[in-house]
Amino acid sequence: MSIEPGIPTLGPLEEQVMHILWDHGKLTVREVIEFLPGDPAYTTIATVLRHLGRKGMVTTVKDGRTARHSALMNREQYTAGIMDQVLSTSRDRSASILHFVDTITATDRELLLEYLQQQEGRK
Amino acid sequence: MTAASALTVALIIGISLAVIGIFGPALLRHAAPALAKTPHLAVALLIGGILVWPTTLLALSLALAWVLVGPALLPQKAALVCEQCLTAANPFSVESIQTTLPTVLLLVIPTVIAAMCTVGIAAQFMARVRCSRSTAARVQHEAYRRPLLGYNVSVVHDHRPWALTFSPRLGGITLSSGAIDQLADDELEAVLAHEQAHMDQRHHIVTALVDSIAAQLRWVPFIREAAEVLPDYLEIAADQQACRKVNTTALVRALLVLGEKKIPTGTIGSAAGTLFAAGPGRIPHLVGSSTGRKGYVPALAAGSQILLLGFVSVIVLLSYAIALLTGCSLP
Repeated sequence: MSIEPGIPTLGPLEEQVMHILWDHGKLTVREVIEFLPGDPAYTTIATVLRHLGRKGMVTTVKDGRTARHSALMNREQYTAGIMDQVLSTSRDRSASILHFVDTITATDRELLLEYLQQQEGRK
Repeated sequence: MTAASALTVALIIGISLAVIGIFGPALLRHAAPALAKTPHLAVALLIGGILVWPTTLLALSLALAWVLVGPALLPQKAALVCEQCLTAANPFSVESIQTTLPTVLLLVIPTVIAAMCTVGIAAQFMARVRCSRSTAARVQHEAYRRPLLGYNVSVVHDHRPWALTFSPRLGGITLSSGAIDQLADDELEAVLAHEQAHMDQRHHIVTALVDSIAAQLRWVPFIREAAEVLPDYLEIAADQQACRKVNTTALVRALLVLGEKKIPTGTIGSAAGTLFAAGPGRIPHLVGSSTGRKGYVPALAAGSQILLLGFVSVIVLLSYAIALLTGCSLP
């Protein structure tokens, strides 16, 4: 199975399934269905889990005769990965996102510290 | 007006255009200390310059069609209509010069190029809007809304301290839980006031528009440079508004906390690091280390040149617009 690099873009149902796996740990397809609203078809969720596996988000382990699915990264790692991508996108200026500050140079850092020292001295 | 003097005027405008186009970056660099003191004026000058430069190029070509007369390419009836429109659009009484260049080319070629550029800019703008929307949707999905020091913000669970702003429609001010944990209340207020200034001053639309235009016209050094330094002036403008609400010291401390390199920059980040090298320098300006009266002459020169070119463009394009709207009727 080929795995897509980086944090993949997830569809709405894929995101729902990931949140269920993050909240409840290793689950079978039927258990995932029980947590989902409505009554999605078994094949739909099995396909979603297969896609998530291809995207590097989910791994499948055999538990006796049943297959259980679990998240490959936790929610925090996923969020951090998304933020890395978002921050790179904004630096690339392909989207209109404005940062409070990117990274400051050593010279600018010196200036800021010097300013703070001056202000402290005035007090 | 004689043909020779009309051509001289056109030549002067052409030279002005070339000077601004080629030497504009140097002018902007020298003007930076003065422009940083009035960031709103600087933003207006940069946006004005980016819009005026290509418009003047179009206007110059259309104005030359009033002076240069060449062999007719169009069928006789169409050529007569075209000639009547040219005469109706011409607000000056100018002698014409016979050339081998068909007059219609002076009208059609720049108009077609301008139309293609406009379509390209619109496509680029829409692509940016789509990218902003999908990026914001991904972030907002991981975020929760909460009131914070009188602002309604989105918070993402991330231990690293960062803060950014989407346009108000896409979620507005967004910051990490790490930023909330690591910043004191007055520092947080400084960050929020700065981000709110971006939204109040519609900086998202400004950057989207300018970057879309610059993407089509990057071959013009002035436009490339203006688009690259614009974000610095937007930051200075936001800092200026924030400093009216909060203490500058709080803003400085917040910059030190959030400016620490905690997020991998990758190749794009390192490119961006050098991107603003020619800019006015947000930090020196904020802490008041860039003082003096330097940069006023280049700023005045750039401003007056852009105003002059803008004035020429308005006269030429308005004349054509009026002629077309009145059905090319002769007075």
